This record gives sequence, structure tokens and C-alpha cells, in this order.
Amino acid sequence: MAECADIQELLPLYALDALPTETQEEVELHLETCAVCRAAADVELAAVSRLALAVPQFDPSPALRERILGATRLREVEPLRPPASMPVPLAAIRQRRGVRQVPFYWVAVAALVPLMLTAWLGTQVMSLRRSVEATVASEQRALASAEVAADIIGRGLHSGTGGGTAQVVGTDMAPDASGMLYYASNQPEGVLTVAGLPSLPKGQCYQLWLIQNDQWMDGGTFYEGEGKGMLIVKAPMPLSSIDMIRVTMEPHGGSPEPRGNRYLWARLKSS
Amino acid sequence: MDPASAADQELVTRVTAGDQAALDELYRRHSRPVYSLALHILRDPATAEDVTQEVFLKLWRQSESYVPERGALGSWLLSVAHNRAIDVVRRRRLREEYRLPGSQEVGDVVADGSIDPGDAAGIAEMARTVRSALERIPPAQRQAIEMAFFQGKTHVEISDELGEPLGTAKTRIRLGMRKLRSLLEAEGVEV
Repeated sequence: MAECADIQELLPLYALDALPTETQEEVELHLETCAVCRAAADVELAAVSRLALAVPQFDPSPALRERILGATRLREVEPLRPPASMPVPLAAIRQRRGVRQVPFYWVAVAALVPLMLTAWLGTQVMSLRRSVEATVASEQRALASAEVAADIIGRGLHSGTGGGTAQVVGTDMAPDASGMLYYASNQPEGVLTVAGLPSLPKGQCYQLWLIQNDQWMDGGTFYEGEGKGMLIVKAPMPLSSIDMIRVTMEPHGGSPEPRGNRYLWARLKSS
Repeated sequence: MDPASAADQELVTRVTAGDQAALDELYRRHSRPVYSLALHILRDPATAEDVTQEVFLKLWRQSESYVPERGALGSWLLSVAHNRAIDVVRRRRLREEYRLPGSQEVGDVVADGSIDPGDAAGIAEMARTVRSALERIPPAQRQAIEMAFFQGKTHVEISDELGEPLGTAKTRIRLGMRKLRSLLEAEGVEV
């Protein structure tokens, strides 16, 4: 019974989730086997749940309802996967990003990265070149983007400062979309490549947002062709200092602040 | 079970069967308090909307996670929103002073057709009652409770931040919650 008295002393803090994790778990263990304390905990939890209403009430934007209902019309989000056009070895590298203490392996990987990126970008450039041959001025701009992309990545990889990548993931609005953001450390430039995007309605574009400390900054706009898109990112600060990116659909030319649905996101810095 | 809870339960059953109109109706009933709580904790409308979206998509995809015997749907949705928002806050290691973004209160909201006005009135009334009760708690106790609930801080962090002994922080939370319960009960709020 002494234990019950001790536990019940802690229940208001338990209900507020204000106990250190270990103590919180001890209380939970006790509650699983003690109906008396469980009932007392339920009373505390009910009181705490009322606190959730003690806040000024605001409406979310009308677009949120559409976003949620839109997501329910789409199929379930698939597990994260590398973009279909990426060479397999690079995907393997990404999967091992969390692994530590494999210096030899990393040395080998580091040596291979420029080669693989160059090969992959070469494929992209060739693919885009074929498209250009099929005419259309917008595709000529895409080829130029691919070549600039190769230049930016090349400079980053050969400057000795290294580079970074972030896997870009589709939201529920674009469950088939995925891509990569490539950037050189300490450089404000990078390249975003995506595939699997929904076709843009007339008068719309995709807009990239760079998010740092919850501040959203315009990262440029782009259009998709057959679901694929590429953007040369020019940020006001090194991309390695950005927390996260998101891509929304906005009216042609972009918006001063994000207003449309979100289609892609990636986390750059671990928070 | 009160009529509103019974109606919620029926809607949840339809959601489980894949009825989008039922989810839409539940969104009309509950999105405002869910979003408001997330906004209050996160202080960022965009992230608050992300959390609100996660809450309703969780209801859509895992409606079996809600167990009616353990409480009203509204409380469950708020609990999911609270947990998610606090997770975000803790990850950010938010330490700045708490402040709400300027925006309109419920009474000033212009109906946009997506929020049920009848439910909004009931929620606003309940919100006023709970706020009033919270304001009548001694300030030091209220502060400790708010730091725990809205900022996701443990009593150890609270005592550190306020420069008070650990026992004092614990006692303030305990006494404050006891007072809150009695004030809510006096107002006829079930706790």
C-alpha cells in the first residue's frame, strides 16, 4: 500500500507527462497491475485532457480540409524508397548513412561518389538532351539546368569541402513522388531533382521552400514534365544550414508565402 | 453516452468502413480545438496544420486506435495532437518565451463553412470555462502546469528553469491540478 501512496503522489505529474522517462515507465508498470491507482490516474488524465481546451480557439485554413480529404482519396503512402532513376549503389550508400565506424568503407564510398554522381548526371543530361532534340524551348532550359547541376555538384565534390544529399519524399498529395537534393557544404547552391510528381494544372507551378528556424524562404519555382522536375536552388545561406525543405503547388510565378498543398519534403539537418 | 459522443461514435464506425463524408463531418466538429491546441503549443500555423493533418489521417487510417470506453473522441483527438505537438517541441528543444501569434479568437472568427458553428459554440463555452478555472489557480501553480502541458517540460526541467527545489515544482503541479479539478467540478465539467 505504501507503494500505491507513492504512485498516487506522482499521478498529477504522470498525467501531465512531466516525469522523467524512467519514472513515467515505473508508474505505467504499476498502473497495469493496480486497479485502484489506475482509476485515480484516469481521473487525473481526464482533468489534464481539459487543459487542451484552455487555449484560444482558431480555425485552420480552409485549404487544410481539402488537403486532408485529398489525402484520403489517394492510396497509402509507400515506404520510403530511392528515386527510380537513381543508380542502386547510391541508394545503398544512403541506407548506410547511420552506420558509424567503417572508415575504410567510407573512404571507398567517398571515392565512388563523384563517379556515380557524374554517371547519373550524365544519364540525366543525355535523357534531357534527347528531349531537347524533340524541340520545345522549355526542355532546352531543362538541359541547361542539368548542366548547371552537374557543374555545381562537381565544384562541391572537388572543392574538398564535401557535399550532402537529402532524400526528398512525397507527401500524401504525391505518394509516388521522390527525389534528391544535392548540395555542396558551405555553398548556397544545390540541385533538386524529383520524379513521380502529379501533372500541374494550367497556371500552376511547384515552388520550393527553404525552412530555417520555422522561417520559410522562397527557394525557386519549377515545372514538371512527365512527372519529373529539376531546380537549381540558390539559397541566401549555405544549404547545409537549412533545417528542411518543402515543395508546394502555387500559381504560376510562385507565391510570396506558401499557400498551396504540400507535395514534397526533406529534412536536411537532424533536429 | 451523451448525444454528441454517440454521434461521434457512429461517425467513427463509418470512417472505419472508409466513408470520407464521415471523416469530413468529424473534421467539421473537431478540427478547431485540435488545430488550436497544436498552434498554442507550436506557435507556428504551418506546423500546427501538419499536426492537425496527422491527427485526422491517423483517425482515417487507424480508427481502431480510438477506444470509446476510454473517453470521448474529442479528448482522444486532442490527446493525439498534444502528444505529436509535444514531440515536435521537444525535438526542437524549444526554450524561447511562450507567446501566441496574433490572430483572431473564436468569437471573431468568420465562418468559412468548414467548421460546424454549433460545435464551435459548445467548444468555445467549454474553453472559456477551463480558461477561467485555470486563471483562478495560484499563478505559481498555473505556471508549473502550463510549462508541463504546453511546453512539454518535466518537473526536473521546470524546477531548473524556475530556480526552485524539485520538491517545490512537484508540489505546485500537484496542488494546482487538485485545484483545477475542484474548480472544473464546481462548474459542472466532468473530470
